[in-house]
Amino acid sequence: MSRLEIYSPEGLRLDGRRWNELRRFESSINTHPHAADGSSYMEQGNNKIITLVKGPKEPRLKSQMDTSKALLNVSVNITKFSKFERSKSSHKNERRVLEIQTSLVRMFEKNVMLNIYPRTVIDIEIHVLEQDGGIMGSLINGITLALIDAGISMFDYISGISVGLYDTTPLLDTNSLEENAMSTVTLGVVGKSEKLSLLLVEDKIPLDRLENVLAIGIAGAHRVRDLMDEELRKHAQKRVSNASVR
Amino acid sequence: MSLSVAEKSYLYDSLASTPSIRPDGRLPHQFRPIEIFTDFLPSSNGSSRIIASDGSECIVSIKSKVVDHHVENELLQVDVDIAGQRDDALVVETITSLLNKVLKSGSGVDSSMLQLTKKYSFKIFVDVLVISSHSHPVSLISFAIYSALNSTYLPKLISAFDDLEVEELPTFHDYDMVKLDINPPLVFILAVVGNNMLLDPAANESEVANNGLIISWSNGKITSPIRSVALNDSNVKSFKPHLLKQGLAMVEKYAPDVVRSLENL
Amino acid sequence: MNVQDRRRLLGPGAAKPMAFSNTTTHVPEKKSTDLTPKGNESEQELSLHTGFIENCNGSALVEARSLGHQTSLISAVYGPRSIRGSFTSQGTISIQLKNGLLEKYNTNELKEVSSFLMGIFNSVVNLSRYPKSGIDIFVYLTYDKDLTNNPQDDDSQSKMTSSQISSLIPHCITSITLALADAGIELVDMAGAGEANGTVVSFIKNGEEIVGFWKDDGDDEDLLECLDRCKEQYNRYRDLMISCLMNQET
Repeated sequence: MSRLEIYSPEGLRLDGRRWNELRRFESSINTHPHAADGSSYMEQGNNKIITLVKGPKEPRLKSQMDTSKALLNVSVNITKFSKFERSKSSHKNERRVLEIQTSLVRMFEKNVMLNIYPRTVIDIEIHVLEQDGGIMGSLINGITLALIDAGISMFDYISGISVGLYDTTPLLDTNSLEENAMSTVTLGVVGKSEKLSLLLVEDKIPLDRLENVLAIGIAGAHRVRDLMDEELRKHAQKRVSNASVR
Repeated sequence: MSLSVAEKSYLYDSLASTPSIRPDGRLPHQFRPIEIFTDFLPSSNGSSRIIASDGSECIVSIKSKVVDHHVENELLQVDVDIAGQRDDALVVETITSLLNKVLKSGSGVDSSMLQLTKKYSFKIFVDVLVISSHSHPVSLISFAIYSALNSTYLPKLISAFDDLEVEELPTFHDYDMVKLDINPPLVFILAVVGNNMLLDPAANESEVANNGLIISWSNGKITSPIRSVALNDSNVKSFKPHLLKQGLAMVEKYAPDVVRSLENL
Repeated sequence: MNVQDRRRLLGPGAAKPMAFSNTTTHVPEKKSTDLTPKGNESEQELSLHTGFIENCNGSALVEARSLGHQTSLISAVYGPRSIRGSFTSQGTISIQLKNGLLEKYNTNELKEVSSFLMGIFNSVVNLSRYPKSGIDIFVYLTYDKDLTNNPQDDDSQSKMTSSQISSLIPHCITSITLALADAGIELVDMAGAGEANGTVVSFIKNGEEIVGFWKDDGDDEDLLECLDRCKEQYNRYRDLMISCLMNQET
C-alpha cells in the first residue's frame, strides 16, 4: 500500500478535489472533419482521447453485411506513450483491450438505432493519447460525442464515469493513483434517467455500499451528460451562425 | 482516392505541361499549409500534432529513458503506428525502417547530445501515430518529429559526469529541465510527373505521378537516405537521370525556408 | 505446365486437363552462365542460373563472389495467376524478401527493400497486359556472408549491415528480372542495377532512364560519380543476363 494520503481527514483528495467533484472535463466535436464522418476529442482530467466514427458505410466484405441492421465495430488503440512509463509492446490485440472493445460494442448496440441503417457498417476508431484512470468512462463519453457528430441516431446520451470506494466514502471520477489504491466501479448511464447501460465492477465491493456508490456515480454521469450537451449546443450554434453568414 | 481514367489523364497532362499546373494552383515547390501544435502531452518529454490541409494528421510523442550506452548503441528509436494498418503491414514497416535510418546516430543525429555521463545516456523513443493520411505520410511525419524533438525538454543532470569509477546512477534535478538540442533531419517528398518535379504532392497528384523521390535534409545539406518511391502502383514509370539532380536542387533551394518556418514555431 | 486451378469447377471426374503437344515435354534445361567481368576493379564473379525450380513459373539463382564477400539468392515467380475479388484493369505485383539461414537483416529493413523493389518492377513489368491477375515474387537470401569481416567487432558489424543490404539490392534486381524473363512475363526492358558507396541505381533502356534510386550512406556530393559507376555495373550485369538467357534458348 502506498504512503499517499488518498483522502485526507479534511475531505480532500490527492488532486485537491472533494469526494463528489469531477475532474476537468473538456470536449469538442467535429475535430477531424476530413478524416471521419464524426469525430470528437475529449479531455477528462489527464485522459486525452480522439474518437473517429466512420460510417454508416458499405461494408468492405459482403460477409460483414447484415440485412436487418448496421454492424458496429469498435477498435481501441491505446498508444505506447499513453501512460507515464512507455510500454514496450503495442496494446493491439491485448486481451484487456479486446475485452474493452467487446463491452463497448455490446453497450452501444443497444443504444444506437442500428435497425435504421441496414446493410452498413459503422466503424468507431479510438486513439487514447494519454490515460490517467477511469479510461472506460472516458471512452464511452468520446464515442457518444462522435456518434452524435456523425449524425447517427441514438436513443439518448450515454455518459460514463468511474467511482471508487475508499473505506466508506465513494470518490467520484477516480484518477489512476486512486484507481490503484481502491476498488472502482464504472457506470454507463443513459441520458438523464437512472438506467444503467454498463456496470463494470472488477474489484470487490461490499454490497451494502454499492447503493451509495451508484447514487453518486449516476449523479456524476448526469453532470457529464450536461457538460457534453452544453458543448454540443455551443458547437451547433456556431455552425448555424456560420451557415447563416453565407 | 480513386480517379477515373479521364480525370487521371487530364490531371497528368496538366501536371506534365510546362509550366506545370497543379490542381490546387500551387507552384512546383509550394507546400500545402500545415498546422502544428506542440507540447500537449504532459506525460511525454515532447509532443507535437501536425495537421495538413487535406486532413492528414499525425501525432508524435517523445519519451526518454536512461540507458547504459555501452549496451545500447542506438539512442533514437522510432515506432510508427498508422491507424487502420497492422503493425506488420508493408507501409508501416517500410516507413519505420526509413525513419530509423533518417534518425540514425552518426549520419542524421549527433548522439553525443544525448550523453549524460561517461556511462549513461538518454535513449529517445519517438512514437508516431498517423491518424489519417491521404498521400505518402513520411514527409508529414518527419515535420512532426522535427517539431516534437525541438520542443522536448529532458531532466537536468545534477550528479557528476565522470561515473566510470564510482558506482552511482545519474540523479536529476527535481523540476529543472534542459531543452534537447539535436537538430533532427527532415524528409522531403517529391513527385516526378513527366519532366516536372513537384514538392509535397497531394493525394490526387500522387495518384498520377510517374515516380517519387524521398530526400533527407540535415544540417543545411542533403543527406542519405535518398530513395525513389512508387507513389501509386498503376502509373509508375522510369525517369531521366537529370530529374534526380533537378529534384535534389529543388530541395536544396527550398529546404532552408521550411527549416526556418518550422523553427519559428 | 499443368497446374490445376482449385478455385474453378473441374468438370466430371474422368476429365483430363488439356495438353498441347509442343509443350508437354518441354522442361527448361538448367543453364548457367559463369562469367568473370573483365573490369578487374571490383573483381566480382557472378554466376546466373534460371529455370531450376519446377513448380513455379520462373526462377533464377544469382551467386556473387568477390574477394571479401559472398552472396547467393534465389527468386521464384508465381503467376500471372487469377486474383479473387473485383476486376482490376492491370496486374499487381507482390515481392517478398526472406532471410535465409543467417537471420541477418531485420524484417523492417527487408520489407523496406521489398517495397522498393515493388516500385521498380511496377514500372518495368508491362502490367496492363495482365488484367485481373497477380504476380507473386519470392526472393530468398540463401547465403550472404562477409569472408573477411571479424565477427568479434560488434560495432563495425552493426554499421556494416546497412551498407550490406544496399550491396544486395542489385543482385535482387538481377535475379527478379531473370526470373520474370524465365516465366515469360512481358517486360518493358531488362532492369538491372549497380551499387557504389551505399548508393544503388537501377536503370533500364541502356542506362538512359532510372527506375529506382536508393542511397543509404553519405551525402549528395559523390552522386555523379556514383551514378556513372552504377551505370557501368548495370551494363555489365545486363550483358550477363542477356547471355544467360540466350544460352538457355539454344
